[in-house]
Amino acid sequence: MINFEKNIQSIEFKDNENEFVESLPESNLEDLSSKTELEINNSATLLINKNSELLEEPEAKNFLEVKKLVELNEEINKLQNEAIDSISWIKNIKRFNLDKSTKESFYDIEIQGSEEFREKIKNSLSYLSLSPEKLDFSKKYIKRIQEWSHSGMNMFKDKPTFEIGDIWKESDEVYLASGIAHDAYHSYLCAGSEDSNGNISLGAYVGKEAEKKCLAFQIDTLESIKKTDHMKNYQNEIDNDINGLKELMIDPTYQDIPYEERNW
Amino acid sequence: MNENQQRIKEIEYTQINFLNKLNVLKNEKNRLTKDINKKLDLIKIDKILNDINK
Repeated sequence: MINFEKNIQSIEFKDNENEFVESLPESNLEDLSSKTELEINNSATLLINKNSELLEEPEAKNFLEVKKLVELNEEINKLQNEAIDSISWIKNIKRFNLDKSTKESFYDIEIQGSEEFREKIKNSLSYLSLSPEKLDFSKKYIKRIQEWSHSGMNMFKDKPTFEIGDIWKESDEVYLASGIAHDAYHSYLCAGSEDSNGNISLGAYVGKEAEKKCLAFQIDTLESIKKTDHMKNYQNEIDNDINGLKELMIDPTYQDIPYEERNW
Repeated sequence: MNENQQRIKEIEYTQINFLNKLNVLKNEKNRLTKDINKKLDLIKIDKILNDINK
């Protein structure tokens, strides 16, 4: 049985990613994921079974604390399942080839991807800077923008990462700027959904209601950009984008399409 | 950082996240267990006192 307390003490997260990677044991991905899954299952089972005799104690069956103990065990089980699902997802999902990408920083946001991608994102962030308030908000909630196989906000990386699939190639830079604000809002909703235990409630930042809020924020971003003098020759294009988003906002369903089947 | 390293890093990060959250739940469980044991002790003492007074 693996002692999770010992593991908590032995893990020291280093912000410098190179140091972190070098400190990893030399194991391949398959070995590491199996070992980690085993450790997660053992640690969770150990904690669930700890003091389980109290649940059978007749004198204690009406104690409020016993009811809370049962709920706590369910919470541990949920945490265990989420961690196992996350590892399976990390191991199996198709990825953008990071070996070919480079990163740089712009407006304090790390941009990682091909040169063409980085240029387009930098231009988009410049458009976003026409609305300083929206840029500041996006900088606060997105720490990395990464060229990827699909698009979406990934809150399970070392820093909040907006992953963008091939859609960036055909997207207008102003629209892309509003898309950055849209996903920053997802990150904001996620940050606000943590309970006192640090658990994130997925329902708070994904799903139809969350999409409506993010679309509203995206529309507001486009309205702010549209008002500036720089954009006076592009009013019709921006209005078209805004109208499209307003239609989408009535009943968004795109979020229900499975990640692997998305073409954006 | 190549793709494999990225995946390894994410698995490590998932594990750290899990262990940190589990640690919080462990503390909560210890607190509840302590409270339950305290209440059970009180019941035992009450019983002993009742037996003596009979």
